[in-house]
Amino acid sequence: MKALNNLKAKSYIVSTLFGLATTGKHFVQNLLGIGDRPTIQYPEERRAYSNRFMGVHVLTRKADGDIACTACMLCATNCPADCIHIVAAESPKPTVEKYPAVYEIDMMRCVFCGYCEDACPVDAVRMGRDYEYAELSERNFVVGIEYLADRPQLKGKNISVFREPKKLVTQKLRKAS
Amino acid sequence: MAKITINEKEFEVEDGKNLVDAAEENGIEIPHYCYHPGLSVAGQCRMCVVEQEGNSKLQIACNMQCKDGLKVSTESDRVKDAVKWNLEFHLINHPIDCPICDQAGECGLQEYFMEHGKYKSQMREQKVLKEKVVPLGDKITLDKERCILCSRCVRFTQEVSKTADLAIFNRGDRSVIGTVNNEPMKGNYQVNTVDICPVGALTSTDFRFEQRVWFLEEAESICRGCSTGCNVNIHHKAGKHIYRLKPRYNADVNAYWMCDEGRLTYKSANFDKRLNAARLGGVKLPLREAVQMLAAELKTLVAMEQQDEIAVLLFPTETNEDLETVFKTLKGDLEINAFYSIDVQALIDEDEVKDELMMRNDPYPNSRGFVKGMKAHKIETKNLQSLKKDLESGKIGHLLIIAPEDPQVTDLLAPLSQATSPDTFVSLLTPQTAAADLFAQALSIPCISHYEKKGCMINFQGREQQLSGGFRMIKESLSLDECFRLLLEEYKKPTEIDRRKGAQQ
Ligand code: SF4
Ligand code: SF4
Ligand code: SF4
Ligand code: SF4
Ligand code: FES
Repeated sequence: MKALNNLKAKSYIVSTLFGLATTGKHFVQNLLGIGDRPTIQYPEERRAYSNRFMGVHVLTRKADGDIACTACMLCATNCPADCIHIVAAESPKPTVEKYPAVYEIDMMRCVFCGYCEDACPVDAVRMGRDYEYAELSERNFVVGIEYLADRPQLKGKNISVFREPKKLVTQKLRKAS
Repeated sequence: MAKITINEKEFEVEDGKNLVDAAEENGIEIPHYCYHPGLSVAGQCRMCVVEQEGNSKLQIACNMQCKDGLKVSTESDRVKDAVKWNLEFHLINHPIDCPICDQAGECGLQEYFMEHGKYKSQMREQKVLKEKVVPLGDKITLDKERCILCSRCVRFTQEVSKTADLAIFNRGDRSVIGTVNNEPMKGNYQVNTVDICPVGALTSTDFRFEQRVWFLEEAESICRGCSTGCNVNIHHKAGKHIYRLKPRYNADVNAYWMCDEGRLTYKSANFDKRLNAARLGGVKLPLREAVQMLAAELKTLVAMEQQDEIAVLLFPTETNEDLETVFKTLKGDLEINAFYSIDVQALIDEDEVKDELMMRNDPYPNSRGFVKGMKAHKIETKNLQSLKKDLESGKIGHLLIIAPEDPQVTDLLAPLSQATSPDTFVSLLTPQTAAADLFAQALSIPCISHYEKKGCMINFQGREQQLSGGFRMIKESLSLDECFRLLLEEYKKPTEIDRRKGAQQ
C-alpha cells in the first residue's frame, strides 16, 4: 500500500517531462520554422484582411478637392455609439450650400459597425482599412476632418463616387452671427 | 351637427366644417398641401382628392363642407392612384435636396412620399433649374426649386399679415414664388410663412443649418416677448440648447401665428448668455453657499431691525407661482416692505396692439399676474426713479434684484448699477451674465430662464396660461421657487448665537 502511495506521489515527474518535451518540440519547430504556426512576424508580416474589414473612417473629397460631406447628419443619426459630432455651416464656396465646419469622430466610442457609411447619401464617409491606431491621450482619439480626409495613408485616393446634380446658384447668403 | 360617412364609417361632426379638418379630428388623414385651417381655400395642390358618392369625378376635400348625408371615400383605388400620381407630378421639378434641406424630417413631401408615393419615378426629363438660396430679407431664405406652388405663403401675406409681399411669378414649370425683384419681405410676421410652407422652400435664416429637426424635443410654453402671451413650442436639444420657437395653436390668443420678435426671445436663454455659477464679486462659489450667504445677510439686517434698509427690485416676468413664493417669503416672513419695479399699472393701462396684428405695447408677459400678486399681498411698488434716488441717498443697505434674462431689463439695470454705492450690498437672482456683470461686487445666484419655467402667467385678456418648461439648461441654477424655499430654510436655521442663547436659558 505504501509503495503504491509513493508511486502516486512521484507520478508528476512523468507529466512534467511530457510537458517539457512539448515545449521543447515547439521551441525547435519555431526556431527552425517547421510546420503550421498561428502567430506571424508582425510588423514585418501582415495578415490579409477580408474586403469587408472595417477600420478607421475615411472622409472623401469631391473631384475638385472640396469635402464631399454635405453635413446632412444622417451618419450621426444612424450611429449607435453617438460618436459623430458635426457642425454644419454655410460653405464659403458659391456653388456649395452646406458643408461641415466641424466633423469629428470619437474613435474610442466608435464600435466600427459601419452604419455611418451605410447612411451616407453621397459616399462621403467610408470605413477605411487602417487598424493600427495608438495614441497617448484619450483626447487624441477624437479626430477631425484633417485626419479623416487628409492622413498620408490615404494618398489622396479618397474621391467620392457621388456625382452632384447641376445647380443654379445665383446668390450667396451670409448669415449674420 | 351633421352626420357624414367617411370610408363607410359614420361620424358626427359640426355642420359646415371643412372636410379635411373633420376627418383629421376623427383620426382620418386626408393628405393636403395648400389647405391650411388659418387661411382661405385655394384648391391648388389637388392632394386632398376624395371620392364622393353621387359624383362621378374626384373632388377636393379642402373645398367641401360637411353636411348631413355626405358620403366620401379616402381609400378607394381611384383616390389612391390619383394621390400617387399627383405626388409624382409635384416632384417632377423638385430637386430632392433633403440632405441639405432644413425641412427634412418635417417635410410634407417626405411624409406623403413614404405613405402614398410612387417609389419608382417615371420621370426621365431634365429638371428645371431655378434659383436657390435667395435671401428675402434677413429672416427668410427662399429656395425656388423646392417650392410646390401651394400658395399658402402668398395667401398668408395677403390675408393675415396684409403685407402682400409674396406672389407667384411666370407660368407653367417656370412658375416661381418670390417678391418683386427679390426685395426683402416686410413686417414682423414673416417667419410664419416658414411654418406654413409644407416643404423646404421658405426656411428660417436664423435656424438655417443649426440642427436637424429630428434631434429636437418639444416643450410647451408662453412667449415672453409681450403681454399677448402667444402659445409656443420650444424646440430644444436634450434640454441643453434651445434652437427655435414655433407657435402653438390657441384659437383665443394667437391662432396659428406668432411674431418674429417673439420668436427670437429664446436666444437670451442659451448658454453663451447665461450665468452658470454663483459668484461673489466675480469669484465663483458653490450655489448652496451663495444662498446661505444671502440668508445670513438678510438675517443680520432683520436681527438688527433694519428691514427698512432692504429693498427688492423685481419685474413682471415671473410666473404667478414664483411671485407668490417671493412675496410670501419677503413680505410675510421677512417683513420687507420696500418693493421696487417698473410702473406696471401704467403699462397695463396703455397696453394696446402695436403692429395691427398681435404684438402689444406691454413688453412683459405677466403684468396682470404681477399686479394681482401685489394686490393679494398688499404690496405697493415704487418706481425705478425713486429706487435710484434712494440708492444715491444711501438709504438702502441691501438691494435684492430679481432680474430675468430679458435684455431690456438689463438696460434698465445699467443706470441703477451706477447709482449703487459700495456700501450697498447687492444680491442678484438672475439667469444672465450681463446683469451680473453690471454689478461686479454683487452676490449673483444663477436662476433658470423664462423658457425653463413651470407655472402660469396671465396675458392681456386676463387668461391664465401654462408654461410647461421643465428642462434645465444650466445644471447649477435654481427656479425662484426653489431659491426662496432654500433661502427660507437657511434663514430659519438657528445661528451660533441663537444656539448659545438657547443654551443659556
Ligand atoms: S462605425 Fe458605427 S459607431 Fe463608428 S462612427 Fe460609424 S456608425 Fe458610429
Ligand atoms: S458623412 Fe455623409 S451622412 Fe454624414 S453628414 Fe456627411 S454627407 Fe451626411
Ligand atoms: S422640401 Fe422636402 S423633399 Fe424637398 S429637399 Fe426639402 S426635405 Fe427634401
Ligand atoms: S414657398 Fe412654400 S408655402 Fe409658398 S407656395 Fe411654395 S411651397 Fe407653398
Ligand atoms: S389641400 Fe385641397 S387642393 Fe390642396
